[in-house]
This record gives sequence, C-alpha cells and structure tokens, in this order.
Amino acid sequence: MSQLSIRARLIFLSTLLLAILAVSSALLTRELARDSQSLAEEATLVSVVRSANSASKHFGDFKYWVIDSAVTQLARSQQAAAAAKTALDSDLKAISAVDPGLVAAIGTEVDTMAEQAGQAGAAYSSDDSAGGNALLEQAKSHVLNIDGEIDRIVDRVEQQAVARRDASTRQAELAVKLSIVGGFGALVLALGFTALTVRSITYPLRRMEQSMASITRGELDFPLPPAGVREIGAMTRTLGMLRDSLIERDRLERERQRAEAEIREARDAAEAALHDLKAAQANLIQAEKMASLGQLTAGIAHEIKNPLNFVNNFAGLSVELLHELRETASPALAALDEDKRAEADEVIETLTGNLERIAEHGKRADNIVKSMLTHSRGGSGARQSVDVNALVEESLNLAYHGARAQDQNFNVTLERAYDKDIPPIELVPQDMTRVFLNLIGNGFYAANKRRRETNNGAFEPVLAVATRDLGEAVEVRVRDNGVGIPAEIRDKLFQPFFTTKPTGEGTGLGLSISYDIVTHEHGGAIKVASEVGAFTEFTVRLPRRFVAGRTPAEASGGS
Amino acid sequence: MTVSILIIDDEPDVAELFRQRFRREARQGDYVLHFAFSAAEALERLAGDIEPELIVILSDINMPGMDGLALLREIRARRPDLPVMMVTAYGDDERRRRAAEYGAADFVTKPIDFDFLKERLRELHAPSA
Repeated sequence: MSQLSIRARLIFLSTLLLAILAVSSALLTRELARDSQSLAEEATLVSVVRSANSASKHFGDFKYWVIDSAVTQLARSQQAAAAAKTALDSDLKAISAVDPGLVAAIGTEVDTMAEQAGQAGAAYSSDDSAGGNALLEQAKSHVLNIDGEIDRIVDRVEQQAVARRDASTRQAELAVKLSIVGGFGALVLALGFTALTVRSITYPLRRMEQSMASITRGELDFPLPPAGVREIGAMTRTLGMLRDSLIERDRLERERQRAEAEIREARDAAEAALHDLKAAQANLIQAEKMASLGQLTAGIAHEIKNPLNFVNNFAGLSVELLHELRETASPALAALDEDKRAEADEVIETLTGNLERIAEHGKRADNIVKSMLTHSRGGSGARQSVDVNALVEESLNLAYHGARAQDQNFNVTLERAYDKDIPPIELVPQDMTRVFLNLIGNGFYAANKRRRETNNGAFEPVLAVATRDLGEAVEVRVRDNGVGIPAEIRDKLFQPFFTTKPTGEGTGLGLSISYDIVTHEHGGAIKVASEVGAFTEFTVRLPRRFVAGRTPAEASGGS
Repeated sequence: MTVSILIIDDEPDVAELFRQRFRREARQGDYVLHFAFSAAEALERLAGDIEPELIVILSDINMPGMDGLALLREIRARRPDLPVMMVTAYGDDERRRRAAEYGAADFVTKPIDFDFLKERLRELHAPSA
C-alpha cells in the first residue's frame, strides 16, 4: 500500500466509492422490490376482502330471493335469485384462493339450500305447505351455516389483510431505517476512504514541502521524508541529492572562506610585521642619527673647549696683568695731572670690567659645553653622593632651555616642590640626569601637544616636579597636565623603540633607557599614572642604600 | 732651587698662556718652562739635557702624530721617576682610565684651572723659599 502510486490510489479510491454506491443501491433496490411485492399482495387481499363482503351481501340477496321465490313462485324473484346466485358464485370464485375447501363447502351448501328451497317451492305449488315448510326450514338451516361460514371467511380474510398491512408497515419502516443507516454508512465509508487516500498523498507532499522550505531557508540538516508514495519517493530521492549537493556546496564554501580568512590573517600578520619592521627601522635610523649627532655634539663641544680655554685664561690673565700694570705704573700715574689720571683710571677700570665679562661669559659657555658633553657622552658612570634636588633642578633647567631652543613658541609653567630635608643620596648623576631630562622632556612634549590641540589658547601647560624623602628611599615625581597616556599603551611605554611621537621626533628609547637606569642601575622603581586629556605623572623611587645589581651600563647615545 | 717643567701641546697659544700664567713664578726663579709642540719633539727634548732639573711633564692628549697617551707610556718607560700630568679637553672616563692605567700623575681638564695646577705642582716639588 505504501508503495502505491498516486494514480493507483486514486483509481482504488474511485473503485471503492463506486462499490459502496453499488452496494447501497442494490440494498435499497431490494428493499424497494420487497415493499412493492407486499403492496401487491395487500392489494390482492383488499380485493379478496371486498369479494368476501360482496359474497356475504350477494348471499343475503340470494337467500331472500330463493326463499321469496319458493314462497311466491314469482318469476321475477326467481330471476333475482339466479342473478344473486351468479354474483355469489363469482364472489366465491374470487375468494376461493383463501380457503378453497371452505369455499367449496359453501358452494355445495348453497346448492343444497337452493335445491331444498326449490323443493319447498315445488311443495308449495303442490299445496303441500307442510312439506314446503319443512323443506324451507331445512334450507333455512343451511342459510345459517352458510352465513356463519361466509362470516368466518370474511373474518379470516380481514385478519390476513390486517396482518399483511402490519407486516408491510413494519417492512417499510425497516426499509427506511436500513436506507438511512446504509446511506449514512456509505457516506462515512466514502468520506473515510477519501480522507485516507487524500492524506496518504498530501502528507508526504507536505513533508516534501517542509523539506524544500528548509532548503530554501538554508537549513540542510533536516531528515529526508520517508519515501512513501512512489512519485513522492522519486521526488524525495531527487531532493536528497539536491540537499547533499547543497551540503557539499556549503562545505566547500566554508572551506573556501576559512582558507580566505587564513590567507587574510597571514597577510595581516605579514603587513603588521612589515609595519613594525618599518617602524623599528625608522627608529633605528633615528637612533643612529641621534647617536651620530651625539658624537658630533661631543666632538664639537671638545673643539669649542680648546678655544674657550684660551678665552677664559687669557681674559683672567689680562685682568691680573692690568692690576700689575696699575701697580707698576702707579708712580707715573700719580705724576699725571688730575684729569689725565682719572681718564687713565677709568680706561683701566673699563678694561678690567670688559675682561671680567669675557671671563664670565666664557665660563657660561664652558658650562654649556660641559652639559652637552655630559648628556651626549655620559659621564664617569661612577656613583657619587648627590643632592637630588640640585640634580632635578639642573635637569629641569637644561630641559627647559633645550625645549625653548627647539621651539620658539614653547612655554610652560614650572612648579617645584622640593623636600629640603633630603640628605645626599648615592647615584650616578649623569645617568639620573638623563632619566630626569627624559621624563621632563616628555612632560613638556605632552603638555605642549595639548596646548597645540586646544585651539583656544586658554590652556596653560604646567610641569611640576616634586621630591620627597621617604626615609629608606627618595621619591621624585614629574607631572604634566598634557594629553595623557591611553591605558592600552601604558604597559608598552618602557619597551624599546615604542614611541607615540612622529618619526624623527622620538627614538622610542628614552623611557626604555630610563627604566633600565632606574631599576637596574639604581635598584629603584619607575611608575606611571595617567588620565587621558588630564595628566601624566611619572614617579621615580630611588633607594637610599643601593643594593648592587649590576655594573652601570656604558652610556650610549643620547635620547 | 729652580726646576723645569716641560709642556707638550700642539697649540702654540698654550705656550703663551703658560708663560703668562707662570710669569711671576718664572720671574721669581721657581720654574723654567720648556715647550714642545709634538710628542716627537718632546721625546727629542727628553733625550737631551734639560736644565735645570725637570720635575714634571704636562702633556695634551689629542695631538697629531703620536698622541698624549702613547707619549705617556713612552715617557713612563724611559723615565719612570718623572711624573706626567695629562691636560686635556676630553674629560671622559675612557681617557681618565687609560691615563691612570699608564701611570699619569694627574688628569687636568681644560679650560685649565691654573690655581689648581699650581697647587698640584707645589705638592710635587716644594719651591725654594
């Protein structure tokens, strides 16, 4: 059944419906036939009853006319008796089928009665009235019998008719019931089979439709509907192949996408690496430039030192020589007149002042050169007992003047909060100066950057330095109100070559070297706190007593 | 007693500077200043007699030809008794270290602080009253 085709199902259904129709029709036809037969029988019985009643009446006429003719001997009575007899015979014939024996007996008795009446009539004619009377009496006794028998027949026929009528009525009721039940049953059966057949076709079709909808939605992991009907089975197999090819296509698509993603990832990684390499290369080039610039600075500084040596020394000497000249020439000067002597004294004074100024500015130049040398080449690398406040102040001034020299528009408010009670501390001054220069320089940069980004000139860059004696350690804070450092790059700050400055402005080495100097060389700690758009604060903590970590690093290029 | 000082520097003005700075001492007869303008000349001078007694050599480091440190080793080899003070514009660690290693008596950076230098000289040789 389950493998039958839709056509077979429909043919089967039609056949079944026709069969149901035929059976119910046959059933009704049979019932109707039965009804019509009983109706015919009933009609026959009705005519029999009528004949019986007619026989009773005709017998009444007959016995009247027979007795009358016997008494009167009238021809008219005899004729009427004969006519009644004929009608009676006809009636008896009609009902003879009901009880032929009884009808025959009645006929015989009627004949006997007619004969006796005739005899009585003959007796009367012969004036034998006694014999006539006796015969007539005999005939009358027959009359009673016949009346009774006819009545019996009438009763019987009536009874039969009633029975037949009742049976017919029952049969008709039965037929109605049967036809109702049969029709209803046929309807139910027909509906049931139709529903079953339709369902057997539509159910797999609906399953198929759902599967197709799944595919349309892109859901491929549905179970294939069972291959029920043959045509649908073929469709299911085709659908299965479609699904399998879609699954395969999806798998290939996913593989392709994965491969693409991998390629993209690899490309991105390569690009990022290239970018990093380029940045590192740029930084290295910058570092190299800075290193060679540092060397150049050192070379220039030394070359300037030599002529400065002469300027300073000869200036100083000249002051001494002028003193000697004045002493040596004092008698001669005294001999001069007032005006001339005053003039000579004034010239000598002015000369002395000029020379002192030359010596003073020479010393200033010498200090600048010394600073340049200190910070381009590094110093002795030796630990010295140093006043931290003085070191920070020196760094602050150097950084400030350096920044001013680089950028005419640069300005910043410096705030100092030195703890005056800090005792001298052992450190490598050149290296620590470098650290402070770095931190202060970065602070200047950040504060100035914010000033440039804040277009309305209302922003005032501030850089604050503070020192504090912590007993076992000394703390130096460098705080700026600049752009701040985003949290995500804070942990990269101390990595070598990490810089946020444009290429050429920073080497990315400053904080890395500072970190090295503070933590490794001095056993201290350097920390950063920042809020974007608000401030950045570096805290350097230097232990008073240094626990030897490693030998101070050979100072490399400036940063 | 008058003693001699040999000053070696490739810059001629150094000689003039020293002469002026030491003119009083020279006048008083404490020191006689001798000058050489290269390491080679200095060694030549040392090979001959320097009168009066040479008590100290002051040498520059950066010089064309043989430099001050090489000269220092040379002098130390020939005259271990003779103190040599290095005078240089380059006050870096490396030069200091090497100068000390080669036996320099002192390391003076330019510009020369003559008061300091004279003090050091007095320590080396007490001048005659």
